[in-house]
Amino acid sequence: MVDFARVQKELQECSRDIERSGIKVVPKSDGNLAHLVGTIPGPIGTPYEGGTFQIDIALPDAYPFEPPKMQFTTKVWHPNISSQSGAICLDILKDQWSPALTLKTALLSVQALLSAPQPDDPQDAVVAQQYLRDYQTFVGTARYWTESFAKTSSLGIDEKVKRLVEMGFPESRARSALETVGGDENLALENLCSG
Amino acid sequence: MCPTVALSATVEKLRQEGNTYFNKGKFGAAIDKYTEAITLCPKVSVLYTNRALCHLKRNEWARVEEDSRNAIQLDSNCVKGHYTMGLALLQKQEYPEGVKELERALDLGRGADPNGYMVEEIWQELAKAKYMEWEQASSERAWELQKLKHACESALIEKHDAFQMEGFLDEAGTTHMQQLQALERVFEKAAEADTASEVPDYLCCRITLDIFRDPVITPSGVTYERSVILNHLEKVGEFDPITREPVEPSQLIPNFAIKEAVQAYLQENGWAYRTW
Repeated sequence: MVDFARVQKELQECSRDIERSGIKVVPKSDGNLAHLVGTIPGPIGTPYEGGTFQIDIALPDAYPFEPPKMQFTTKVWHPNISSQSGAICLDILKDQWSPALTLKTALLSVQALLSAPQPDDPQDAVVAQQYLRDYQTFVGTARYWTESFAKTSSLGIDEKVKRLVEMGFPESRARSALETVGGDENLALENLCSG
Repeated sequence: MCPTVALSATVEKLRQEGNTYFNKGKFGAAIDKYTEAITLCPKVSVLYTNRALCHLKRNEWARVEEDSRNAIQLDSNCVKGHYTMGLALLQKQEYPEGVKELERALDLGRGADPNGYMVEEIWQELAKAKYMEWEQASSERAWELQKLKHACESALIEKHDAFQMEGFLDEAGTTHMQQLQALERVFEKAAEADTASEVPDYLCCRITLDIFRDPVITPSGVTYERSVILNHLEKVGEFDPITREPVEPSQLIPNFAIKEAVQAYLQENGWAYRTW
């Protein structure tokens, strides 16, 4: 059984501190405290600055004696985060977990990971290669992904995909078109029509 | 104690059969087994506490009380006996006595061996009773303050009106307003003790994030709730969750200073018993 009394307290503490930390944790749906959504602001001075990143949080039954399962739902270009699945490679979410950590401190660590990539222990080999061999391109891509997927304007991407699908385009093409143009619906439509 | 070895073996067998029935939820059958055992050997407190738990499951509170009383008479340090006794008394709305029994059970239960550890259960019941007690007392206090404040305000206003009739100047008006504001502040301050706020972090376990019941300190000097730090050492690893220094269960020491600080805090802040 998840210790829901503790989770409840964590959520309260987190919302009290939101002004200072910028970190938000809310239940994914009402009444289910085992499935949460975390939000972290991209750290200033990094390619992620200005972005807002959503992280899906699933609490295992043994929480807080087992780490929470965290995964980015916002697409992010980072050596330690899978560009495909959003999986995070971070020691405290695995064997270095301690029950004295909380969802907030774990999310703060994820935020710190955004500031300090560890390309030697990668989750996404392609990104890590780019980071090591061509840092400028890495920064460009990471910033571009932030602009495209982590800005408020790009948050409604599912909505946009849906509208394009309603116009008769296949979902995968609609999504990739939106990704190519950075989330602008009109440009994506042009792209789809010309392509 | 039972007179002969053979008899005690029979009683032990009956007790185990009773326990098996209890675990299956067959409380009537369990009661029969315990009763048989008690007839053979009426001086074993655990038989009474076990039977009391069966009665408790069947909501037969008079019997719970009777068996608990017997158990406590045979063994005054019996955690379960005091626990069920407390519940029976609370059921009868004898709050102060019930709370006293639960407090005794909690004191005896602290530091008990992990198998029979029931601090959390006792705490929950005690907290519920204490919270109700506080709720009632605090609403009485609030009512009293309200009446007193009203009386003071009326007295001030009356005095002011009398002054005005005698033709005093505006100066009296300013003082009058200040006095009314001061009165407001004084009564606000008086109500503070009964206003729910946050339990200070140093009285809360860093794992449960809740106020301590049975605090223990690690060799690193960090205090945790006993049951959860034991759970952590068993499931996660033998290290201090905060400092990550190695810790073994045997190295945990009760932290009496924090325990007393918690008691003193709860004495003053009854609302903090709210654990749900």
